Amino acid sequence: MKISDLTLAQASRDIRSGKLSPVDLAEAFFERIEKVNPRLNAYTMLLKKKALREAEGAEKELKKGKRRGSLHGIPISIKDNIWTKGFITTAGSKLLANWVPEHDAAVVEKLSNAGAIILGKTNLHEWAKGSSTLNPFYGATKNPWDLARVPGGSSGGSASAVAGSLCLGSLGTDAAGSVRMPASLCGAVGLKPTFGRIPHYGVVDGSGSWSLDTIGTLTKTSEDTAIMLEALAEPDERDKNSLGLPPLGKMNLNQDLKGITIGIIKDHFLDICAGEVKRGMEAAVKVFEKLGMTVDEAKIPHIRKAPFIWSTISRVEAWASHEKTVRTNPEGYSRGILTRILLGQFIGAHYYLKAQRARSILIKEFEDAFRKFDFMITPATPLPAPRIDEHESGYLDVDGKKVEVGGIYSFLARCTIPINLTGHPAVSTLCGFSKSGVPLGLQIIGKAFQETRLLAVSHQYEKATGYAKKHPSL
Amino acid sequence: MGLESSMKDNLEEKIKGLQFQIPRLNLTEKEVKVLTHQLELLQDMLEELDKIDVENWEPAVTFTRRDKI
Repeated sequence: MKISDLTLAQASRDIRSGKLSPVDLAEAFFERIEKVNPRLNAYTMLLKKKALREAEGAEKELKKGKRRGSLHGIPISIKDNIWTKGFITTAGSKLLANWVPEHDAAVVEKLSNAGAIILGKTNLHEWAKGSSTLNPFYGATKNPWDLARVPGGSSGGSASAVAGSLCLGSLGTDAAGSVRMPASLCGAVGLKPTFGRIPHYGVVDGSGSWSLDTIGTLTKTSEDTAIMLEALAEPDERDKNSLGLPPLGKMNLNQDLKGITIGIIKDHFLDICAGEVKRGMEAAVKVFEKLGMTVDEAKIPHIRKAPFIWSTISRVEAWASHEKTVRTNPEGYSRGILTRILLGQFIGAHYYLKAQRARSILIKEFEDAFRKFDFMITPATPLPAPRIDEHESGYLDVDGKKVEVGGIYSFLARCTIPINLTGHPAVSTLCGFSKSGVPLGLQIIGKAFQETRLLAVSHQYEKATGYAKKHPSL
Repeated sequence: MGLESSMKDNLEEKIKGLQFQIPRLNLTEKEVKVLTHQLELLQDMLEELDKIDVENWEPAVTFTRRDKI
């Protein structure tokens, strides 16, 4: 068994047929983690004893013919801002270095009930507020394709663990692109479902954003993503934003997609974007056309205002979450995060409401565009993964033009944040490689609640390109 | 519109005011400069927001409050 070639879907089929034992699989992953994680720092904590005990339990159940579903016996990881009962959950902050939740998050309960094996907790940017996962307290996570480059963030540990074959799937959170952006930089598939599709109960307060954050998945393929989403997408009364929709059931990713229309949004997304990312998009358009889809430009009149709307909302919500702790214990934060949070107090309530009103305009404009197009596409990130030293300098190079890493928002998230404002589902998938050999990501945006159709498009695109079969050599 | 004129007049003083509010912040001169720059950007951001005509639009609050849900 070559772990780097194994997808979640293939492992699931092999477990079902009895070809693969959950215990052997978990042990093989821990062996690889021991060898590779010191270089990647994707995991901050392993739950080895518990995981092996659960793998033994899964094996016994499967032998008795009690299969819980496609995730039974599958090794996964969890971003460390998602509660795990009895195990430290830090949110990447030293303030929570010893905090142990009394409950599991709803998503952890759902994965456990589905028989998944949780291998450990993955590193993140401090308080999930940043794009590098260069964490001052828990170390820098590295990009598996090039250890001198950032994996993106804030779910950088999850993306690095999936792309580095240290698990078969991972959970992240996404208030600005924190699932899709690191997935893009690491060559994984990252899904942010429709706002409210996956229950949010059990995400550490202050590590997201009340009206922008969604739990999402990171996997190697869209087929794998569908398997995770089938287990996670259920209503939960503990989350007031949880949609009252029935479970998705078995998602059909091989449905006929001929004749569907795709809109490319060029304004904002291609304004400041590396040439090789644009070429990756152009190549993707040709693949969609070969698959029988039509592609045309989509217009969103207020799209260039999205960063201002997003940043106003995000900063106010961050200050509201952290004000008390910042006032009483400012030493508990890194200086970079502390100063970013502090500025939220200078935005008045009327501006917060104005931003939420402007957000309604943006939602309406996307809905209008979706009357003409079935899906929309953009780059997932404006650049391939930057080098760590470049990111730390505070400036990034876009074909000779210098841009700030973090002006009013994180530059690497400029393609993903508009979709946090609208709440639509969006997936990031691999659409090629840069000259330096690191992944390029494509973002596909779907209509609200149409995750099955969205993943069908990305699945068929992945089958046509074969990119998902490429792995970093570690 | 944008931020109040007093804030525009002296952003640096505003940032230094944070130090009085939260004495344990211990802001360095370099940090004061960085924060002042950030506050300038924030001011530009709010001016951009002011250019959007939001008349007759209600706050979104969350996507799930839309009618079709």
